[in-house]
Amino acid sequence: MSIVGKSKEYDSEIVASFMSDLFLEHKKYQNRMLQLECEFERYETNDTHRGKAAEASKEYIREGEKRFQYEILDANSMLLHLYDHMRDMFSSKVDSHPRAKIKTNVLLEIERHYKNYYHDVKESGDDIETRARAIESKFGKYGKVTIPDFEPSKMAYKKFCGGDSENSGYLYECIDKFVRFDRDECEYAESMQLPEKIDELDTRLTVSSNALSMMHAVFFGMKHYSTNLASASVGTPKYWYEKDGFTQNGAGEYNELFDKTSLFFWPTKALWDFRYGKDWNYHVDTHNSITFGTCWQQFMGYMELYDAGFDFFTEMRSDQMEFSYGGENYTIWYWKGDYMNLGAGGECGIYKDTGYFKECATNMNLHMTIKVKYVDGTESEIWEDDTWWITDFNPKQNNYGELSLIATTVTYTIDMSFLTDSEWNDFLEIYGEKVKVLSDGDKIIEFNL
Amino acid sequence: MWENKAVTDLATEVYMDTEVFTEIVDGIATSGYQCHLDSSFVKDSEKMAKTDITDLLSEYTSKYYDLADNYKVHASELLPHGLSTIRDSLIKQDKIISEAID
Repeated sequence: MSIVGKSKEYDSEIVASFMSDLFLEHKKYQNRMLQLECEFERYETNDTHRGKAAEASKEYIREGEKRFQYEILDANSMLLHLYDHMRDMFSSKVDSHPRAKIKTNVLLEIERHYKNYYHDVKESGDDIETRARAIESKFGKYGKVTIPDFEPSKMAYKKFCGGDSENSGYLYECIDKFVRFDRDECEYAESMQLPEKIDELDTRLTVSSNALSMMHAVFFGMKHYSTNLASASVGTPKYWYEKDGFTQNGAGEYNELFDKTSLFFWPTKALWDFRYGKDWNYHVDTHNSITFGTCWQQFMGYMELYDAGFDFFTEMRSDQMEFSYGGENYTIWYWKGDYMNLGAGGECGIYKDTGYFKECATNMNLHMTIKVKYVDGTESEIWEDDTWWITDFNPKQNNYGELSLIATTVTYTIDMSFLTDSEWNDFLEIYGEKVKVLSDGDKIIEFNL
Repeated sequence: MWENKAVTDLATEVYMDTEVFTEIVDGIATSGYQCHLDSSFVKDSEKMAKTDITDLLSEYTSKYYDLADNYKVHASELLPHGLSTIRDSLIKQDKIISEAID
């Protein structure tokens, strides 16, 4: 019983019937997936959809969605292969008969019965043989006495049920072959790492699905620009739309639309307007993004609740400083963390208002810089931008825990020369200990997290 | 000298036949919706045999079917939503620009 553990059963006919239905169902599934692929191809070759966004989305279909399909079908083939392998191995290692059926509890019961028979035969046979020998020694002189030989019977029982041995006999071998087949097949199946592949695929699918579900039509165009440009002249800094970060710092090789090396995350990166800089770190592009010109999330603003959720899903720290400008209250909100898909780094944004809900201060295009010193002592290049939101995330620095994050320092600078002397002094009165003034005349502050 | 940077940089035509686009996206949604697997196989796989390997394969099958379910939602709802958003953004852009010109 010890070699089996719980009872095992296998019926070749039932397995064959199930597999036949399963394979038929999956064949239909594969055909439906092929039909979907045809639709993807229609999308890719649609000549009535042209332009950079069109090409980007076609590239996403080609390299992102079709790869999803390919990997899902690949996992499907792997699953069916494991079923096939199991059936073949049962046939070659346990029993090749198409109607083979095996139940270990039944075999063990038979083995138990036959061991009892064996012991009966052995005991009775030995007794009969002993008695026969006694008769033969006493009365053999009167004639021939045949001594019965139970050895062939005992041997037959031994061969079938193992006799006194626990680990031999035909029944034991049957069970053992079945148990070994089961164990070997489990090892083989585990070596294929199918669940890990499915989990990894599912994670990427979820990321992509979440990003797609968050897409909104953006409200950004000439009217938006003209309105903001008019208001910009009332108080916005000298750097208004002069230069974007990618012009100032240099962009990555594939910055035109999105990072082609990582198309699975295209929706995420495209939606949040992240691009590679020449330093191959991710930086938000608030000037010239894929989503038709601006970071759509600006329309949502930011609130403490997002931060709570954000903190739950990622490793992060944040802090805030408030200032007044032109009678309005603003918040400098800055973070450091290891963000999913982006890596470790930091970001800093300017928000209007100081309450629970803050509106993104897109009218505040301030000259900002960010630099990250990672836990391993290496440092990012300084990234600068004229913007309301600056970021610097290094995809090669990831899996940061709490201690790694504590050992990471993000240094930010902001040119606040647009503040009046009074506003500047009010700000320094509160945060003078927290910030370092790099240039009092130009009102440039440096602070760390 | 002033240069029309936007034109020289992009040097590309922007065009969408929204009817054709919508028809294709609808086709993706319909085909995506049809990409489903009959979940009764998961239960049948549990009953197929009583071995560790069939238990394991049943577990894998269940996992794969969950993935297939997620993919069905992705391909039939979320992807078409994302693609339709591209169309709607373009339409909205066109409207906003036209209003700005007015």
